[in-house]
Amino acid sequence: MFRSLYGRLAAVLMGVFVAVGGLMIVASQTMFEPERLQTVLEPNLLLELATYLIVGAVAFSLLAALIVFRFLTRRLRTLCESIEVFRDGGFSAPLQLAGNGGGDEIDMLAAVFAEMSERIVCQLEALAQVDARRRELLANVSHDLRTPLASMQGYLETLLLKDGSLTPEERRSYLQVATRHCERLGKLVRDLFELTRLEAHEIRPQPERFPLAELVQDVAQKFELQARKAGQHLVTEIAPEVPMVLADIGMIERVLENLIENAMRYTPAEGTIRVTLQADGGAAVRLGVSDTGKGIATNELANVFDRYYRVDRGEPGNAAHAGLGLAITRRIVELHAGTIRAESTPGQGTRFVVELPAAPAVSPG
Amino acid sequence: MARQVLVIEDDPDIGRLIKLQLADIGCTVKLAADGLRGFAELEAKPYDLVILDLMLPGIDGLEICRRIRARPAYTPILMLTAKSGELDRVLGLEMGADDYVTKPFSVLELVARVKAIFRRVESLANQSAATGQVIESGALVIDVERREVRLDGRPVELTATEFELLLHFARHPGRVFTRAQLLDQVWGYSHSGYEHTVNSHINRLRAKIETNPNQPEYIQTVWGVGYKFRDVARS
Ligand SMILES: Nc1ncnc2c1ncn2[C@@H]1O[C@H](COP(=O)(O)OP(=O)(O)OP(=O)(O)O)[C@@H](O)[C@H]1O
Ligand SMILES: [Mg+2]
Repeated sequence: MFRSLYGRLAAVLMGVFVAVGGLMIVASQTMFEPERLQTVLEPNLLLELATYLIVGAVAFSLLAALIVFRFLTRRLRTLCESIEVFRDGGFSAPLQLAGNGGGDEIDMLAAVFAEMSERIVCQLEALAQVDARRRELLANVSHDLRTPLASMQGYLETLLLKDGSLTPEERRSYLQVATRHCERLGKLVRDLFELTRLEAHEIRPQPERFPLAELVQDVAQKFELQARKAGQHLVTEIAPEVPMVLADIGMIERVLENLIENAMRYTPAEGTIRVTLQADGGAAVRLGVSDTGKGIATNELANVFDRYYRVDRGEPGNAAHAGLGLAITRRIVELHAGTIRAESTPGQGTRFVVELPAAPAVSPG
Repeated sequence: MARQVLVIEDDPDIGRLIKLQLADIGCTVKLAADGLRGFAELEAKPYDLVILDLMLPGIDGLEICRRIRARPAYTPILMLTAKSGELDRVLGLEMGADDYVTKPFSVLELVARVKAIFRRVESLANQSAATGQVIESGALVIDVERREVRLDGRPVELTATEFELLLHFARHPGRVFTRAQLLDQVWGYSHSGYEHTVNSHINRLRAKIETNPNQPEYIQTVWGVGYKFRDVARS
């Protein structure tokens, strides 16, 4: 009962009550003592006694109230002060409270404030992080957009300015450069939009039951020529009896393309890119894309799925790639209730594994 | 005779570009800068194709599309759209567009699409004049002239493209086609980014004509290469 403020107040009041009552009893006893009985009838003495009684009671209650209020306000003031410190500190460090472990209303208030302040600090930090990421993203986007634009503009202007003095070959090669950058710009804008819309859930998969094995075969076929030109071996290993999946064919093709394209880009000539597909129990299919390329350092592995993350960002030569492919891939896989992970041994190769739920069985016929 | 193409597009540079490219394949191109003018043009004289921008000042492309479809004469429509994404596509096709191209587009692709539409219209016209050719394979009967398919005597509802695909297969039993070949020969495209439509159509076609889509009887997979129609002579 004494743990709560209300209880303590009640106790103090009861004390006052008992004290006043006690005083009354003592006073009346004094009044009714026989030798005093006559004197009692003296109005002056009676008045005097009553005055003492009242003054005493009032003084006592005032004292008690003062103690209680002081006790109350002191703790409220400390709380106030720490909240002010929190505010003046720019909401950066949570409330520091020397909690006395008690459990009265003020303690509870303080605890709630402390919790709130912690939340505020956390959220502000998260916001700051998001903001920093957004800035970095914007910087990356504008850099990646400007670079191809600059080349395009430069070559086209040169063509216009020096039109008369250029050989047909030069003219052609300038135009080719401009076209190449134009395509790159187009891919970037498309990827950015796709990722944004995927993240905003604006694109929804349009699921169909289909044999993933066929799609793997068809997509691999699409890359075959390119692999052969690069002197790489593109191998597909499809296990028999892989169940069908219920997925958006276009999106899953995108996943395959992104993974194979990456694998080919980071694998030297004579390297092997292996696309595997097998059943994973009865309820899932497992798609693997592995390469014998340069690999990804362990500390980078978790980041490659982040949008705009590129291990070799800043290195020349790979500027055409913005680092959106795997972010898009992961979103697509997640939209299909699947998982994706990467394993890598630097210098030996990388393996991406996608698991997708198998389509629920349908009785043939 | 030159084909008449109406281009309803508010950006004059894009309009001119399309005009240039289509003139090369022997089309006469008329440009209209907004929907109302375009629609008036269409009322005034017949066209073989309308290329329609989705985002137009005044009435938008979808509304124009709807109005064109409400006319008694069938005019093929190719939509141009700056928005990508499945929703817009479906919407475009549901509104009755024959095909769509997303901006930015490669002129090569645009021309390929236009040619494909012309080819489709032509083959439709030829087929209705064709002799009553019927292809039979097992329980499957394809009436080429009527564009009807029956399985075990029961009619099978196919979309126009599904029918074209089935017909293409059935006309070459036993011959293996890669996905890229099918895209080229049935759809008339040769550009990447649309290949999965082939998988999608094969898939739907199988769902309609195969008893067990897991073990297709008519449209079979040739592992590592592509797809073929069942070869009765050899099986
Ligand atoms: N198979 C791989 N081997 C080595 N590194 C890889 C491999 N796949 C991805 N990475 C690393 O992960 C990064 C992110 O890949 P992601 O596909 O997201 O972007 P990207 O290929 O650089 O650009 P984009 O796909 O947008 O054209 C790559 O830049 C690369 O550093
Ligand atoms: Mg990539």
